[in-house]
Amino acid sequence: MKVRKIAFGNSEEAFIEDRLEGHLNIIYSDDNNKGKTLVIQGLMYSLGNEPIFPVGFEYKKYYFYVRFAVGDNIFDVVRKNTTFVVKSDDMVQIYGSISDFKQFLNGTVFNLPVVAKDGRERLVDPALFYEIFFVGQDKRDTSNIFNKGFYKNSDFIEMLFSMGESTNNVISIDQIESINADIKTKRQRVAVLKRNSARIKIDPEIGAIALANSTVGSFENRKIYISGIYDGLTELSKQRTRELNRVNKLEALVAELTSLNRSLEEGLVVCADCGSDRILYKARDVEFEVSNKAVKDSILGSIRSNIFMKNEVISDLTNQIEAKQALLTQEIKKSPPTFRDFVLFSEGLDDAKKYDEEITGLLAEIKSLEFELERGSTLSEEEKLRRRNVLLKIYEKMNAYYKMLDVNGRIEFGSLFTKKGETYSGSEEQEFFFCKALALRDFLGHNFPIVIDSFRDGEISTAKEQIMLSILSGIDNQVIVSSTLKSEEYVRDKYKKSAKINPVDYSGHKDSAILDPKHVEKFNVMLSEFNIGIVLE
Amino acid sequence: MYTFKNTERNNYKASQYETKSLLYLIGLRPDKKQISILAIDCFNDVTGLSSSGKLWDLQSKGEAGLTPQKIGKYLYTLYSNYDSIFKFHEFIFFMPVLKDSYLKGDVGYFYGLENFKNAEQDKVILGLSKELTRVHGVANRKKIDSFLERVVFVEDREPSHHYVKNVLDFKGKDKKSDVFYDEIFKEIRDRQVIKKTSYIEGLSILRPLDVLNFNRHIEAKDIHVLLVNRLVGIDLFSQQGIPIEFYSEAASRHLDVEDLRDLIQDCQAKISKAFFNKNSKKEFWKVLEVILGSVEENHSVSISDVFESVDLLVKKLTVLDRDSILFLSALIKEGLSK
Repeated sequence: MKVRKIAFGNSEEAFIEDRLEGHLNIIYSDDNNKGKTLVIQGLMYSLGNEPIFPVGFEYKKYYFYVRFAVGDNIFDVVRKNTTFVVKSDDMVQIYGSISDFKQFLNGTVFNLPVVAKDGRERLVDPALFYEIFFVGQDKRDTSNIFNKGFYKNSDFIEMLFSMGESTNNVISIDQIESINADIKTKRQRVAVLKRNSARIKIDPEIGAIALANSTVGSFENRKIYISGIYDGLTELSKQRTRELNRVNKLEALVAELTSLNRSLEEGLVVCADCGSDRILYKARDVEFEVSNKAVKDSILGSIRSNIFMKNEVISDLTNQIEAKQALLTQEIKKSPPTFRDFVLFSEGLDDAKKYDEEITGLLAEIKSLEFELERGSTLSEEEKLRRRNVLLKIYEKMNAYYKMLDVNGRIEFGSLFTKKGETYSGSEEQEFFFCKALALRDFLGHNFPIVIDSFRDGEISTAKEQIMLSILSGIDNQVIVSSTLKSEEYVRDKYKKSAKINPVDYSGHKDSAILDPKHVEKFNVMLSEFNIGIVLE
Repeated sequence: MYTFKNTERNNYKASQYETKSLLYLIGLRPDKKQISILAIDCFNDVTGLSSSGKLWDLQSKGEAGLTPQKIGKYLYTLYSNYDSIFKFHEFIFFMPVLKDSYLKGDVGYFYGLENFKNAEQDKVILGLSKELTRVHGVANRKKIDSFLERVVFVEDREPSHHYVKNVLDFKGKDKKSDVFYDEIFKEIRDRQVIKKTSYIEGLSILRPLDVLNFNRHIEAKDIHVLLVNRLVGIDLFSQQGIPIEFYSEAASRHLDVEDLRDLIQDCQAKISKAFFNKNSKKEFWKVLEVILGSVEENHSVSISDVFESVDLLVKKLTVLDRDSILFLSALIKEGLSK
């Protein structure tokens, strides 16, 4: 996959980056605030990533565009909020949500891995998937994935495992019994906890206080915040209803088509005497049939796979709705805090909260056990071994890269995320992310661009920078990195243009003003075929 | 006056061969655009006609181990047409790949008599003379020579699907499987076989185009429509997206994204019903024919103009409505825009 063009803007201001090449691209400038991060985050956002823009940048006001090539196919994508319009080969596709866009990416563009999450197998979201090749500037945390929230570190590792062949065991009858027994015990425990929790009588008003958050601002702010969640919830529910409607219609269509199909087959003429179907037609005007088997099979097959995908989208939306609902309940609980009540009841609330947490945990475990039963397999010993080896191989590669950067380095990487409390110095952290991105590339053999925002972050020495650049310019993948130079370092041709290195200088941009009215006309032309003004509002 | 002779009823293998020859006429020849009608088993196995009555005569012989002398013998029907009251534009002999030893060299899949080695040329002439003498008692050598100068020998070097694939340029046609084209090939073959079931031996016509009265012909246009139908149908519901022109037209109605997506699904649903509903067969073929006709006539015709023509020419629309016809037109226009 090669990124050809990145752009973002609206009818007032815009920016277009079309100088990218298929190998190593270094976007640099003599100072901060020249828009490097916006361009890189804009790229990832238009590909379906979660927004991680610098504070103060109102990304919802803009259209984000990317053109990329996968093999011989060129794709143009425009994103605004959660709507995506994709153009390829003079055909247009529209997606109303990330879940929907994900279904397009998977298969048409590349294959997304499937992981088991909350007792259900699901396609991973782009936000998690892109972490194999993307290192952003903000939200860096060696002990976590960048997009914490729905996904956890374990999901990232699970995803890496699922990108290889797994070997699972079929569950034996004994195991089924033991799993069932396990589920039963857990259910009983849940029942006990629920009874206990009910015993603690909580004044609903006070329930809120325990969770009252000290950082919460004024009443007005809270109101806006809560109604924001509520709007999001309504929007999601509306989307889910639309998708459900579509699925229903498609199911009815399949039923109708198959019945039409049947009458067609019943129409076969057979000779009454001998039963032969080799009967010559003697009609004046015989047209060709409306369709043939291949066409009919293909239509039915595609509708069925459409239904399948839409159901995936619906279940994704359901997850999001549940998460929002939980958030909403929590927030509403936080309402009128009075200090006295808080002090009086905080103890009981603490217990209630503890019970609640344990119940949630148990329910999740039950769900995943039930899922195991349904799938009919558990991890085999072989699979456990394979998984161990996957990780060992990745660590090995990470350490090999680290040695290339620093022969005398003291660090020995032994995990994909650091433990809490374990901290790296600025340059070590940078080296960690660099080695991880390259090790994953080597291990997975993927052909996505390696994207590192601020690749010299944490004062990487010039010698190490040279090594990094020589590694990055030696791989087949496209590479897009950015770097800010200190004024004493900045010379116009610090990075020399060569067959393998494409330096792109952003120093000329005005401070904090990468978006410029002068690009608007060109931007509009680029986007004219998407009809964005109308479709994306 | 022309009298039909030597019509035959073919077995399976021969019909396979005749379908290949038919598709050769409208698929592989550089002048294929001129050939709009294919007369089946009238003048010869297959004869192409232009709308003004120009004739491309074709004799096919799928026999294994064809020798030059046998070829000469089988050239008899072509010769008879050459010698008839009608003026034929081209004489084509469609046959399996010949042994190298008969030929001077490999000059491609079609060639004239001059590419036969000299001794073999004589055998072709001998075969034809013998047959003429057997039937008529005489053979005119001068006439034979000038006839043979005009014969094109075409070797069948490709599998069936290759012939189907070349009839029409349509986007994505190379991505379809061979099986997909083989199935269409069979449909055309069956149609061709059915055409031969009527009885015309001994009937006469005055002008070449009078042959249309016998309904033993297939129009090239019908085969184009067939291909468009199958090519559009196979991708209808797959994730290929929607053609830009339809998107622009729909976007101009100020629908929001979700409404637009519903509209698209509705169009796909209606069109797919047309592919399954045998009762609306006539309507569907007519609609396809009008769309294809409008687009071929003017490649930049707008889809709403295409709809106007459909609305005018197809009296009653039952399964398809305006939106689905706009959608279908955009798909076809897109496909043909190579």
